[in-house]
This record gives sequence, C-alpha cells and structure tokens, in this order.
Amino acid sequence: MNTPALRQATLPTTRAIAWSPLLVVGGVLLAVATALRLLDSPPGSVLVLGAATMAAVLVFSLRDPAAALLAAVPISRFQRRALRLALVATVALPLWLLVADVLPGDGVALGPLLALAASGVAVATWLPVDRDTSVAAAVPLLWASAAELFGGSAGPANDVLTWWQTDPWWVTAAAVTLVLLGRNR
Amino acid sequence: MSAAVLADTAPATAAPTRSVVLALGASEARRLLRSPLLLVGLVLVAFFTWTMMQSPDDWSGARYQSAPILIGPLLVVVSMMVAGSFHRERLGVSAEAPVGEGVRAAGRLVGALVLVGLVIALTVAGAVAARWYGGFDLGDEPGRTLHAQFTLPELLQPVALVLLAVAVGAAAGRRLRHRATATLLLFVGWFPFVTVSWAFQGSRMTPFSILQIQPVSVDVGPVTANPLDFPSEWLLSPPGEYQDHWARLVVSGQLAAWHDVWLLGLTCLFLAVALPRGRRTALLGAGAVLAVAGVVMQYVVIP
Repeated sequence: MNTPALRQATLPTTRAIAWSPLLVVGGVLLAVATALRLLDSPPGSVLVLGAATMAAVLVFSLRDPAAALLAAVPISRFQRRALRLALVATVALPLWLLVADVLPGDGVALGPLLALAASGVAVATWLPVDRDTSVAAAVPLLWASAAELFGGSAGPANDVLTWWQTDPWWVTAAAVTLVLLGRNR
Repeated sequence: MSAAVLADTAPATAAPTRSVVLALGASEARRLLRSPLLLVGLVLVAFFTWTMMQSPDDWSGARYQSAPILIGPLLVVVSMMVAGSFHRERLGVSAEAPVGEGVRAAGRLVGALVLVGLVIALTVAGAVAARWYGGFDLGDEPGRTLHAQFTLPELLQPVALVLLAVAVGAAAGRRLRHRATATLLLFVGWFPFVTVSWAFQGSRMTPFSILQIQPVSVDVGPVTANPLDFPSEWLLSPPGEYQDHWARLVVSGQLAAWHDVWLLGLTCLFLAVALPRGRRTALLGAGAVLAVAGVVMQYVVIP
C-alpha cells in the first residue's frame, strides 16, 4: 500500500467528499430520535431504517466525480475508496451511536449498520463504474425496507431478508471478502 | 415602439406562456407516469391495503386507523420523483433554455398534478369501497359501531398530503446539490411519519403531526366506571394493556379540517423554498398564516 501518497491524499479527499448527505441525514435522524425521546415513544422501525439510511450514506460516499481523472495516479481505486470510507465513517459512526443513544430503548444496531454498508460497498465494487454508487447506495435501503415490510410474510425468503439483522457479522465478513476479491477491478 | 404595438403584443405573450407551461407539464407528467418508482409505490400501497384487510376482527378500529397510512409509500415516492424532476433544474444547460426558471417550475408543478390526481382517484376509490362494504368497525361494546365512515376533511387529508409531498420533493430537489442527498433526506424524513405515525398522535402532538390518525381518545372514567352509564351514542374504548381508564373515541371533522389547513400551510412554505425569487414572499406569507392558523385552531377544537 502506498502509505505516503495516501497520507498526502487525505486532505484533498476530505475536501472533495460530499458531506451534505451525511450531515442532512444525521441531522434528521437526530431530530427524529429527540422527538421520540421527548414523546417517550418506542423507536419502532426508526432504529433499523435509520441504520439503513446511514449505511446508504456511507456507500454513497464512494462516489468520486473525478474517478476517471484519478485513474492514472499511483493510488489504486480500491485504496482511494478505502480512504473515503474511513474518512466518512470517522464522522458517521459516532453520529449514529449518538442517534442510537438518544433514541428510546437500548438498541444500537451497529452490527446491522456495518452489514448493510459492507453489502452496499461489495455491490459497488462489482458494478460497472458509471452508476455503481447510485445503485449500490440503494442496496441497504431496499434490503432493510424489504425486511421491515415483508419480514414474516415472505416464506422461505424470510431468513434472507433478515440476515443483516440476525447474522450481521457473517454478512459483513462475506461482503468484505467480496470487496477484497474485487480490489483490482 | 408605439403604445398600440405594445397593447397588441401584451395579450399575445400571456397565452404562449400558458401553452408553454401546459406543454412542459404534459411532458413532465408523461415522464413521471413512466417512472418505475411510481410502480413501486403503487405495489406497496396494494401490499399495505392487503395487510390492513388481514387485521384481526377482534381488534376494533384497526382498519379505520390503518387506512390513513395506506398512501404512505406513495407519498415517499411522489416526493422522490418530484425531487428528481426539480433537480434537473440544477443542470447548467437549463440556463440556456428559451423560457425562464419560473415557467419551467410551473411546468414541473403542473406535471406533478398527475400524481395528485392519482391519489385523489385512490382516495375516492377507497371511500366508495368503504360505503359499498358498509364501513369500518370502531369502538368496543357497549359503545361500538360497525359502520363508521370517514368524514370529508379526513378524506381530504391524502390530497393535502400529496400536495405536501410534491412541495417537499420540489424543495429538496431544487435546493440540494446532490440528488442522492435529496433522495436520502426524503426517505429518512418521511419514514418516521409513515412507519411510526402512531407516535405522533398524542393530544399535544397531533396538531403538528403529518399523518393524523383519528379517532381522538378522551378519558371519561376510571376502571371502575360502569360503561352503561355513558351516553349510548358514545364510542368507547375499555381499560386494557395500553390505558387504565374508560375512554371515549371521538372522530372530529373540525380537527381533521384544520389539520388539512396546517398541511396546506406547510405546502406553501416548501413551495416558497422551491420556487425562484419573486414568487416566494406571497407563498411564505400565505404558508405561515395557514400553518399557524391550522395548528392554533386544532388546539381549539381538539376534543
């Protein structure tokens, strides 16, 4: 890994990342969590759908409008994406833990968040470059929404719909493996 | 240029503007109707309806209280579709277009009316079906009916909601730089009001809610009260797991009407955010007046 080049790329990458999705989604989730806390209301599906939205934000942070221009630099696409993810996760994960702490109840959903985000990143890794992040960012939302809407009434597909909740670490491990396998794409 | 020429040309510009708006609206409407998101929304509405129909018969009022939520998924996708439409306004090429942003925005809004019409059609179909099948059960013995029907202001709530969905989508699409930000914001902004709408139905909170669900529960007596002593026309809810008293269930048409006014006020405020300068002041003023009047009057009339 080209560590000095990555270190040099950190500041420009921080400036280039679109932070508005994270700040907007984080702000709304915090407002919803505060409202539910004040109303002393159970979090319902806010915890899981909030985790899915935050995971979608993480996946969307892979979007790099200058990707084609940067293809020639000595840092690989895989490394640039890893740097972007690390930078956004540095803000997103504490923000999510704050939201989970403010929400009534004792759920954290860190495992499901990572499982959904890793699944989205895996999909982004293997999709064609032009629309990869837009499609991949929809994966966490669709998977979590499907589990919320159809969980319990989908017959044999029930287990698949809820894998990210029931076995988040296995899902994360499988997704990370897929990402590593596609590191040279 | 002479005054006569000006007088001749002035009326001629109004008609072309209207025709341009209508043409843009027709084009936008066709684009919206072809969107796969709309199909997703309609499928989800059908699924929600099927789920509502499966509600247990011994849970009185379940169907009446679930019905307002049925269009929730459609509201989300309407907002997302309109956001996509207004986000195109941010493309550089639009500055070179032969008509101004105001006309284009009017065209997009006219096009979105097709979605409003769709929700009106679904609402009318639902109301007719409710009449056809004799209505909903509401309340528990000895204060129960099997023939409850929605009041007109309650039936207007989906219409006000879809107008709000259009306005929110327009504001998010026009003002946020990334379409993904707008989509994620709309998803995360709508889902609490759809999936945990029951959390916002307390008497202090319901005037500010987005999806208002009636009836309102009014405490009328302790556990030991004899329900036969209450007026026979009251709909009642007995003490149980979620309440330690006898409650009267009140469907208030006035509350629903003022809630519609609150929603229309919000619609004006969001439209003011979406539209270009010059059209904002009147919308901001009207929106603020309607929203404040809607909230204040809901507190006045709430049972």
